[in-house]
Amino acid sequence: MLRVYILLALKVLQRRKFYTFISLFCISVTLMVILLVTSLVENIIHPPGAERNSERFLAIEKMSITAANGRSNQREQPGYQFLNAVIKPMETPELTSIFSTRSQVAGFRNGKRIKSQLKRTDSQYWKILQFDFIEGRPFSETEAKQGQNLAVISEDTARQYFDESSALGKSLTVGGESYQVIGVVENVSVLHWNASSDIWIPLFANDSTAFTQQAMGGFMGLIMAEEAEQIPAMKSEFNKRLAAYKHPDPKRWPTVVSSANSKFEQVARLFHKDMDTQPKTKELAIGIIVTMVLFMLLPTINLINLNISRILERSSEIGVRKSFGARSSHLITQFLLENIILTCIGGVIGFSLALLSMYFISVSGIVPFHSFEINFRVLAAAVSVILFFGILSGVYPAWKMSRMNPIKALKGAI
Amino acid sequence: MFAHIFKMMWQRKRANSMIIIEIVVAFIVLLAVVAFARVSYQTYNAPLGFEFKNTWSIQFEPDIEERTKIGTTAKQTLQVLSQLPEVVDAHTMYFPPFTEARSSTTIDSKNGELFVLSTSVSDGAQQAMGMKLLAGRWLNESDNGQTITSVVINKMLKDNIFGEENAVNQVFDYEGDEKLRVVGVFEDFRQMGEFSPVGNYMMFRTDLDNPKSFYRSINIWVKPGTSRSFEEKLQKILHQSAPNWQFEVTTWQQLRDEHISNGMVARMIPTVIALFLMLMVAFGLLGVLWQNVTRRTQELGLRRAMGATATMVQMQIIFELLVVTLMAIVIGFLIAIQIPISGVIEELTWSIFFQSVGISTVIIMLLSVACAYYPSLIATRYLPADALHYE
Repeated sequence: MLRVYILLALKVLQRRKFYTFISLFCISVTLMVILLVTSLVENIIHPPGAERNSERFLAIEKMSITAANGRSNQREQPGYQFLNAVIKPMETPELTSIFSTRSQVAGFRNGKRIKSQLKRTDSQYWKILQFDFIEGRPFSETEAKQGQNLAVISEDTARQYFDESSALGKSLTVGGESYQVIGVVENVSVLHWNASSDIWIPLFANDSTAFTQQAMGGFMGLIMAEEAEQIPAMKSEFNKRLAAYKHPDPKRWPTVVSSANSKFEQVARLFHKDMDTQPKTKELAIGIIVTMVLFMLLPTINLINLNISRILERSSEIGVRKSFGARSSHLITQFLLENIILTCIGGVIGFSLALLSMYFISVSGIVPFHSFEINFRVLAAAVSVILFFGILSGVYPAWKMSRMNPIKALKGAI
Repeated sequence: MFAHIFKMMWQRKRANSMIIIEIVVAFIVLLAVVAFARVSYQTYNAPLGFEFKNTWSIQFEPDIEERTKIGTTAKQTLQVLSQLPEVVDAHTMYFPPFTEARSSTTIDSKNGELFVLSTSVSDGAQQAMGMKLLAGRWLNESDNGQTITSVVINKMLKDNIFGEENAVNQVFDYEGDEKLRVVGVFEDFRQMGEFSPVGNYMMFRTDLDNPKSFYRSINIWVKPGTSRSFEEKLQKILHQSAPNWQFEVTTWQQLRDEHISNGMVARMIPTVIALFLMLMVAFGLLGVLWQNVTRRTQELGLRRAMGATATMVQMQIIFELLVVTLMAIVIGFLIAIQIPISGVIEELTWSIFFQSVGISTVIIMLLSVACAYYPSLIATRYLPADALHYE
C-alpha cells in the first residue's frame, strides 16, 4: 500500500509541474534561511575551534561605574586593575586569564598598509582557549611577564606579511613596534570574539605597564573551571569578590557593576543596556524561537493554500475513491504522505542551497574567517522544520479533502 | 462593477479566509520592513552636524603611573602634531565619532528624565569639525575657573529643557547637586554616526592646561590629499613624544565606512528575507488563482456567452483578488496600528507609520495585480462553447 502511495505521490508531483515548483521553492528557501540562522546561532553559542571549551569558561567583558547620585554612569570594558583585583585571587577557577580587547594596528610592507587586530594576552590565555598551532608555540609565563616582544600571528597575517614562507623567527613591525614571531595559529572567526584577533603579543610587551593602574577600559577576563558543573560556584565567587572590590576613586564611583557570563549570556547581553540585571537568556531563546516560527508562518500558510488548490483540482479523483469505499483516514494518510514526500524533496534542495550559500558567505569574507559547520543540533533543527512544514501544511487541506461530499466531488464542484 | 464584485467576494469571505490570512501576514511583514527602512532613511538623512573628511583620530592608552604627567604629555604631543606640515589642526576629544564608545548621563527636565550623550573637546574643535552654531558662542578660555561649568548643547536638548525660550546663559541642574550653564546652542553632533537615533547631546570644554583633563583621543585635520602612508611617519613621531603610550590611528572616513557598512548589513538581511517571503506569496497567489480560474470554466464561459467581453472577464478576475487583498489590508492595518497607538517604538511616528502603510498597500496591490494577470489572461481564452460542453 505504502509503495502505491509513494508512486502515486511522485506521479502527482510530475503532473502539475508549476505547483510542484512553487511548493519546492517555498520549502527550500525557508529551510535554507532556517539552516543558515541556526548554524550561525549554534556556531556562536557552542563555538568550535579556539573557543571549544566554552562550556567551562565565563567571560568578563563589560563593567560600569556609577556616581554616588546614581545618575552619571560610565560603561566600558573592564580595566586591567579591576580584573587583576577581582579574578586573579579567585579560587574556584582552574585558570584565569586577562587580555586586552582587540585594537586596530597597522603595519607596512613595501609601502602598502596592512590592517590587523592586536590583542595583548597572558600565558593562561593559551591554555583556556585551544588555538590550533600551524607552527611554533604560544609564549610562556615568564615570557609574558618579562614583556618580551614576541608575537603569535594568524595564518592570514602570516600570509600577508611573509607570503608562503615560514613566519617563525621573523620580525614583524606593527604600530611602530617590532615583534619576533614565535607561533602561527589557524584563523579565528570574528564571531568568536573572546579568541579572535590577528596578532597576539605578551601583556607587558614593549615594556608597557601603563594599563596596570587603570580600573576601566580595554581589557577582558576569562575564568575557566575544571568541570562545567563548577560554573555556578565560579559565578557566585566572582560576585562575592566583585562586591568587595573598591574603585580607585571610591568617592566619585562608589558603585561598580560587572558580570561573568557564559557564551549564551554574552550574546544575550548584547541586546540589553543594563549592566546589573541578569542576562536575558530566556528572553533571547524565546525571541529566537518566536522569530523562527513567525518567519515560517507565511510559507506555511502559503503551502496550505497551494495544497487546498491542488486538492480541489483532484476532486473527481477523490470522489471516485470515496464512492468505491475509501475511508477518510486512508485519504488523509495518502495526502499527508504525498505532502511529506514533497517537503522532503524540498528539504534536500534547501539543504544543498544552504550549503552553497554557506560556502559563498565563507568565501566572500563578509564574516571574516567564519566557517560554517553543520552539526547534529543544526541537522535536528532542519529535520524538525521539514516535519513541521510537511505535517502542518498537509493536515488542514487533508482534513478538508476527507470531508468532501463524494457526489459533488465527482461532478468536480465543491 | 467594483461594488458588485465586492459584494460577491464579501459573501465568499469564508471560502477565501486562508488567502486573506496569507495576505494579512504578508502585509504586516512588508509594513514592518518598509517602516524600518523609512525610519532608517529618516535617521540617515538627519544632519550629522559635523564634517568627517580629512580627519584622523589617534586613540591612546596613556601611561598613568605618573598621573600628573598625562595632561602635559598629551599637550606636548598635540603641539608636536600641529607643527607637522601635513597637519592643519589638532584637537582632543573623549572618544572619536562613529564608534560604540560613548559617555552618557541623565538630566531632569520638565519633559521627564532626558538621556544625554556628551563629549569634551579642546578649544576650536567645533570650528574644525564644521559644526553649526545656532545661538550664543562656542566654549573658550573665558569659561576657565567659573563656579558653574559652561557647556554647549544641541538643539534637541535645548528644546527639551527650555522649550521655545532663549537658552543662552541659562542654567540647568546636572547630576543632582551640580549646575551647568549653557553658553551656546549648536545644530547637532551625532557622535555615533548616521544610523544612530537622533538624540540629546552636550559638549564640555577640555582645558589643555589642566593636567587632570580627561580625553582618550587626539584628532588631527590633515591637508586634503594626505595619503594613508602618512600614518607610518605619524606613528614614529607619536612614539618619540610619548614612548610608553599606545597609539591607535584611524581616519574618521574609515570609522564611518565601517559604521555605514555594519548598518547596511543589519538592514539588508531583513530586506532580503522579506523579498523572499514576498516572492513566495506571489508564487502562491499565482498558483491558487490559476487553479481557481481553471475550475470556473463554466461560469466564465457562460459570462462570455451572455456577451461579456474578454476585458470584462479579465477585469473581474483581477478585481476579485484586489477585493480580497483590500480586505486583508484593512485587517492587517487594524493589527499594525496597535504599535503606534501603544507607542512601543518611539521612532515610529504617525507620519512615518501612515507613509509606510501607503507604500506597503501599493506594493501589495501591485503584487496581487501581477499575480492575477496571467490567470486572468487564461480566463479570457474560455469560449462560450467550453461552458456549454462542460457536462
